[in-house]
Amino acid sequence: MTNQSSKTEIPLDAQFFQLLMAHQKKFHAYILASLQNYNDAQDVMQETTTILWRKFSEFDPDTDFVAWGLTIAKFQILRHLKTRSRSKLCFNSDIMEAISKETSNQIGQIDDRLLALRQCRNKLNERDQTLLKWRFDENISIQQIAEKSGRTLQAIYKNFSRIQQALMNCIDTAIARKKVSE
Amino acid sequence: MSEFNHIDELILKQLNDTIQPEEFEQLQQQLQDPKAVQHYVKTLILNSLLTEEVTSTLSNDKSLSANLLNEAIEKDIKESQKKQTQIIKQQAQLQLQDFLSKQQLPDEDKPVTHINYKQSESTFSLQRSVKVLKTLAACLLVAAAIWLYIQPKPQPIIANVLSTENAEWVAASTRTTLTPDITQGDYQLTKGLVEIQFLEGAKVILQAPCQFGLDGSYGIDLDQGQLSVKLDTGKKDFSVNTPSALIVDFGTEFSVSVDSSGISQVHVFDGQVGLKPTSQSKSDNSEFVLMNKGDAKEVSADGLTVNTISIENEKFVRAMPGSLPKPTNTTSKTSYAQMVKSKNPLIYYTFEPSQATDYQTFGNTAIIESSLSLNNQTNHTLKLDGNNSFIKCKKLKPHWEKNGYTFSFWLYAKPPQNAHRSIVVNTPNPIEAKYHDVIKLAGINHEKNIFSFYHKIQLKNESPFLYPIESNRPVVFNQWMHITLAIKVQQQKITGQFFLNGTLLGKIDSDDATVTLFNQDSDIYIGAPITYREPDGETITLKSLDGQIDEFAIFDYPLSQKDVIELFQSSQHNIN
Repeated sequence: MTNQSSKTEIPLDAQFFQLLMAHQKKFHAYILASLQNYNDAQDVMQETTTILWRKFSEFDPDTDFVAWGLTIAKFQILRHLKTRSRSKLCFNSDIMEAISKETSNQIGQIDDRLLALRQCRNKLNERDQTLLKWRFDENISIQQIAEKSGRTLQAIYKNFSRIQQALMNCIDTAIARKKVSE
Repeated sequence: MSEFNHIDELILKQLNDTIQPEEFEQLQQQLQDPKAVQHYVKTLILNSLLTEEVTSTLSNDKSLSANLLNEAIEKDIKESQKKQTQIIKQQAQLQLQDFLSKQQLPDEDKPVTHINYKQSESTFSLQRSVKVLKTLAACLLVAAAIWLYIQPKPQPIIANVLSTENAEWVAASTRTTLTPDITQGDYQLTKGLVEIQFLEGAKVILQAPCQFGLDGSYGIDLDQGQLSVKLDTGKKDFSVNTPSALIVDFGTEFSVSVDSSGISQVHVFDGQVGLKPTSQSKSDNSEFVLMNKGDAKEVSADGLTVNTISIENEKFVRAMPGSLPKPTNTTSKTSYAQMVKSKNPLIYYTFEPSQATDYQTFGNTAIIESSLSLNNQTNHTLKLDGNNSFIKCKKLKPHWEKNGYTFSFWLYAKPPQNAHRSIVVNTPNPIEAKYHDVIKLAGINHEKNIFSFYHKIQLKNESPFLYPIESNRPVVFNQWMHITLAIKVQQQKITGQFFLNGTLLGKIDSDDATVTLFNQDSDIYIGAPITYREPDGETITLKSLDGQIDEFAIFDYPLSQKDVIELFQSSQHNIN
């Protein structure tokens, strides 16, 4: 524990907050990619955070917090999948495995993707930014957005699909440019 | 463009739990291709980042629009008038961020967690203030233009009253009784309970005696008294400021008390909160303490001491009593019937046996009931048994609702017994209705246990559809309730309002300026069962109402909130 002396100056709970804030996006992305549902992901994210905090005294600060956290997250995901309603639609095991492998590959790019997302989001037109604001900043459901904007549910899904595609293209381009410049 | 963009809509539906089995199968088929899996995971990560990324667009915005400038200046003026205690609270709120900046985190990693969301909001305010001052100093012309924006504006609504129980409360500054819409200010609850819902989603139950202040929809200042907070999973964070502590909610249920000596207590019943003492007398470097379910802590009045205490389940009211607010005594001498008539209804059915009726009853079970009582008075009502009994109203003049309209009535509903229940239907034939024939429909949604109301509208270049308004509070059964549905049409925009016992419980505005309100000349039925097929193929069935209706009135204009309150308050006198 080479850095222990400097780290022990920071209270344990503050260390935890610091690490959690820095990396919780990765945990959430991994959980959402594994469960493919906002509500389930939110529940598991909260459970994972609780366990991370409870077990944080066992965490070796010289090891990788993200790897440690993802191990705990994976365990919580498995637990959640076991208790999840049978009525929920689940992909077959081959596809689940492929998704899991792909998520692990992409998780390292999250910080770059987030930076690009911030720039790309600002490039959207006002109407699309408003839709994103309602959905993600104000946590308004797609159904409520349809009601609020007086449009059909189908139309709103199409809008978000289009916005998603625009953001994906913009982010991919930004990442590719970055790679070239490196 | 990715070759897999066509699955994006399916992914969105899956994320939102609305994907149909056949759509899911289609998605699964596509994901046999490794490239599709790559696209799929990228899309999920994008949605995760959008979910977790809250304020980046605002905080990264380098240009200050006129509106933002206006807001910033108004905020500066308000800020200057705040008490010293509030400054201390702000300092406390910023401390976590200060702490983090000392740890030299990369910029992009800082403002993204729940706890930091609140911090980044207040930081943004401060940054805006600095920008405003610089702008004013730099250019007087700009300043003059800016001041044009500083005109008195209506206070923004921060929260709505969901329910009350024997409550007496006032806005401290004006001493005026509170309205259902709550704006920024200081308040006193002197008696009873009030449940309010903030626009950002948090629900708070306040227990009298209680003094509190509202500054925005993300938090509440509790100066004295008790409150309980419930924040559903997925909602943004919410904070409670007491004289000696800042409590930040991470999506949970907790209660806070402040006694007359200023001691604060925090009891966590579910989830997690962050607690931070906010001392005025020491240099403010105390840390946030993470509290979990079952934890309780007490912070001394000076904010210097935090002690662990036993959680007290019984100390706080965490759910409102089941009953809806009862009609209060009123000085009005006008009877309900007189009040309705004074507002010129198109039709008004009082269901008095002695009076001539101009409605038709169907079946042998739609009867005039005289056994139940409303407000301890003998009450004659229309009784429907939930088994295909209903009445048909008289024919109204053509296009009667073109400028808006109102339905107003008293309702006593029995539990819906696993079926949606119909209250009012406007369609040529409710028994064999087609989707495009359903013009208006009010009922009880048994899955959500709420009132739902629909009116058919059409947007430019889109198919007509049923435009919904829903109550934001569950129906309470076996109890009389005063219901008002008001639809306003102005300059092709539509506003729907749903009132329960005089309180606004649901509102919807169409932003689109091309709305056409359907006003087909078809019959209106009370309590009629109806079955129709939605455009997506789903069959909707509402069974006949099981319960009673009274004082049913239709107006060919939207009643105002004042009208609705007058109607409700006049109910203490002479309802038969």
